[in-house]
Amino acid sequence: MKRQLATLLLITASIIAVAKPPKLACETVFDREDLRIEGIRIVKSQSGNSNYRSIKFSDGKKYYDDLYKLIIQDKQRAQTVYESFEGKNESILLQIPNNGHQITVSLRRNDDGSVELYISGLTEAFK
Amino acid sequence: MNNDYKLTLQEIEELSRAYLDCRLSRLQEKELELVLTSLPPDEASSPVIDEARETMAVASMIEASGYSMPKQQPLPNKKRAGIRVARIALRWSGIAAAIVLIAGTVLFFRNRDNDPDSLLARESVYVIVDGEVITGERAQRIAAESIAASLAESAAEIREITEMEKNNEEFKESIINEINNYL
Repeated sequence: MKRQLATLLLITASIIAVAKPPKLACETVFDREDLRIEGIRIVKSQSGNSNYRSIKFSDGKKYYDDLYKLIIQDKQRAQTVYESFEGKNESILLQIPNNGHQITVSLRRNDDGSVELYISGLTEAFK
Repeated sequence: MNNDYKLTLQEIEELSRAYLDCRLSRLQEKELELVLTSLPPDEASSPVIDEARETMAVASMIEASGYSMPKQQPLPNKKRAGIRVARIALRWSGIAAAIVLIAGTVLFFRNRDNDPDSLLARESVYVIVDGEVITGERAQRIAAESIAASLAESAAEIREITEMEKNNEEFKESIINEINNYL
């Protein structure tokens, strides 16, 4: 019995060692290596306690649908949702509570075809 | 035991004691039984001999009834193999878990320093434009402009939406008031 408990404890500890904190679906975009190409600008900034990440596509046509699916996944965790549609301009903004703080996620499609996704909040909010 | 040799009372007692302690072989037990049954009780009697006689009587009754201790059935081969495999698996799972724990810890600390987010922690700004990593003042400027633009647009949007919602509420209230006035 003791040996089985010790085995279970070891397995649990090893899973925790390789596990990462739960991420927003939109955060996965910033891990993609294939987006480091022409026409895409990626910005990551850590200033004091604030964390900001954004990705902007000059021609966002082929990426917008996938980004929209990701933000819809995160919408389920949002406390507040702002959506606006004006001609070809479309935007959705989420405020998601996590770890006692707010994370802001915004996806915007502009009438010039560009698409921008940004995620911003205090560093503590992403833990 | 030699059947021709007449045993003394002491020897019979000694043999009885040995019988009660289960130190005699089956053959010796049978011979002692023969001796005790052939001798009249008043010729060979003492507490230990009498106890041996009684025990022999009980043992004979049990034997005569045909009762025997059930033999432990050996486990079928499949089950024995299963138990052996389970024991081996349990031993190795502990070793495997330890290896995974150590490997996970090593990978965690090794990758941490190569992760862009930890680079970010050290450098505060990380910018890639058209596949090219931008550093220095230019990176700082691009980051500042991006942050300002994003947050300003979001703030304007939220203001517009809340203003619209407020107007909607006022509009709803005015309609309700008009209906009430009409009624």
